[in-house]
Amino acid sequence: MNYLLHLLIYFEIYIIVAMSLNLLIGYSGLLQVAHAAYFGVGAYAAALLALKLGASFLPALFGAALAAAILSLLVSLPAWRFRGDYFVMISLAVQVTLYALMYNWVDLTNGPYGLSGIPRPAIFDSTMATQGGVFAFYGVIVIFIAVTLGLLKHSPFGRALQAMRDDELAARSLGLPVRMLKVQSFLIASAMVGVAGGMYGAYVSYIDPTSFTLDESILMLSMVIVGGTGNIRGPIVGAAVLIAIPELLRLLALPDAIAANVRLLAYGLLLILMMHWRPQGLAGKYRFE
Amino acid sequence: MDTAIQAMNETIQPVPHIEKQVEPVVQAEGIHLAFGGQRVLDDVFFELPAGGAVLLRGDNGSGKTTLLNVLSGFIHPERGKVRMCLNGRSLNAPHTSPERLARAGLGRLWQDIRLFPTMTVMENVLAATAGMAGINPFFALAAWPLVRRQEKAAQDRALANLELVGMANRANSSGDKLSVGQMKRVAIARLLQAGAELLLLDEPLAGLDEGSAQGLIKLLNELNEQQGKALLVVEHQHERMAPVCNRTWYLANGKLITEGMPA
Repeated sequence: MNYLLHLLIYFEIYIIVAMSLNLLIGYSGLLQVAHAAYFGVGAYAAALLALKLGASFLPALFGAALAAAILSLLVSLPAWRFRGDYFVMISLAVQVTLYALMYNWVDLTNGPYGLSGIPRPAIFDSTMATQGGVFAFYGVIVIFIAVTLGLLKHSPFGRALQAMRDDELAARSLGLPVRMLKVQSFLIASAMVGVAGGMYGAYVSYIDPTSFTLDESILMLSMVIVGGTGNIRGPIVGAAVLIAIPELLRLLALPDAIAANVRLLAYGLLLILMMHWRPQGLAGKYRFE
Repeated sequence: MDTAIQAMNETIQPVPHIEKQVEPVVQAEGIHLAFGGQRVLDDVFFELPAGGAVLLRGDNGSGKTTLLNVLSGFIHPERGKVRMCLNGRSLNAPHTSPERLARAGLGRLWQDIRLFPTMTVMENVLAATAGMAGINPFFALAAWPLVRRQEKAAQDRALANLELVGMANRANSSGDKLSVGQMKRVAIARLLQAGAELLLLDEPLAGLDEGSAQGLIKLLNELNEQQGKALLVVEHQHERMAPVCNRTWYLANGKLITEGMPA
């Protein structure tokens, strides 16, 4: 296994994760903390479609997107009425509930033992046997999603999201359908992170609920905050930095017992420094508020 | 103020019916609203004729902004009916969302203006464009050429509206880098872009110097007289609104009590 390619494939998956979360946080102003749960929904949906129904990779990814999009209503419908701290609490509740379902619905998800033997990425019955093939294939998906988000950002939809984020009351008084905009942005962001989940499961060929915890949601949030919100560059930079940190810490050759804690400390320190010195993130357009 | 209200009370009765022209743009009947036992609007009746311009006066806390909030759908009254006829469509305001009222032709200028601060002036105006198919993301992706054509037409209209309010030369400026007077002009251009036929203006002259105030008054006059926009203006500097508003209503103790020429 080529370790650099392995990291680059992770990087591609997390670019999609961070870009989709940026649609919610950066463009729509909705602070979502259940993104890892939707990543997990996508991963489980694609894995189950492949393992139990024999679906090939692309239809499984489509199923992952659909499942995550449908379940996004759990967050987006309460967002009609709740904003700010209250909305974050609901999003947190959804994260915990979906994680509990993955952990305890043993008949479907195999609970804490997870699902193994997930088929590797394939296109038209041609399995990506090499890491290079997976990297190239995932790169195409990343570009497709980035272009889609770019088109949306420069459409009236993107402008309406920006208006809603800037001032929801003013947006409503101008006739913008803010409730529908929230539902639509959650549908799109969840479908995209669901696709990333499906890509993750197919690449590592084994998933269990520990990959989709609140900690993971906070890592995703950190990518967007560190990279910056409101444009395409920010999430890419954020994903790169947050993936690079643990690898750089390896150079310190810390004992295993403390390496994980040092990594968390590094994340925390980075977030505090960013909030203090550069609240718009390394490559962001707007301050994170 | 109290003396003036008392004098008006003696001569003029509450105004359930003002005058019959074409169908009024707003017809309010018996609006009643209380906050925590405090009566704010008490059986308010009025008709605002199409193309009319009314100055709404009253002391601080008399319920003027609350009445604007009721009319624009942000607060539901406990009792009463509000019927609107905007751009040929009839609406039952207390049971219609603010978004639908705005799309039908009700425009609200907020006291604190509320431009979108991270957008340019042009983007602020474009954001208000009614009937853009591309506001649906799935349509925006599936019919990108049509969306671009609509966008071009919306940009032309936005530029015309900015020219009307004298802000075309600042189209690319950021919304939060303008003076208060400029922000108010952009906010009005935004309402025109949204197709507003009735403008509810909350303290439009607040924070403006003499020159800016005169310019805004002239603009409001043009919108009323040349474009037929109906205006309901809450303004403490009532004497300055005399060139624009052809009638005055008072709100005191929750009652809308009179009308007449501005003092």
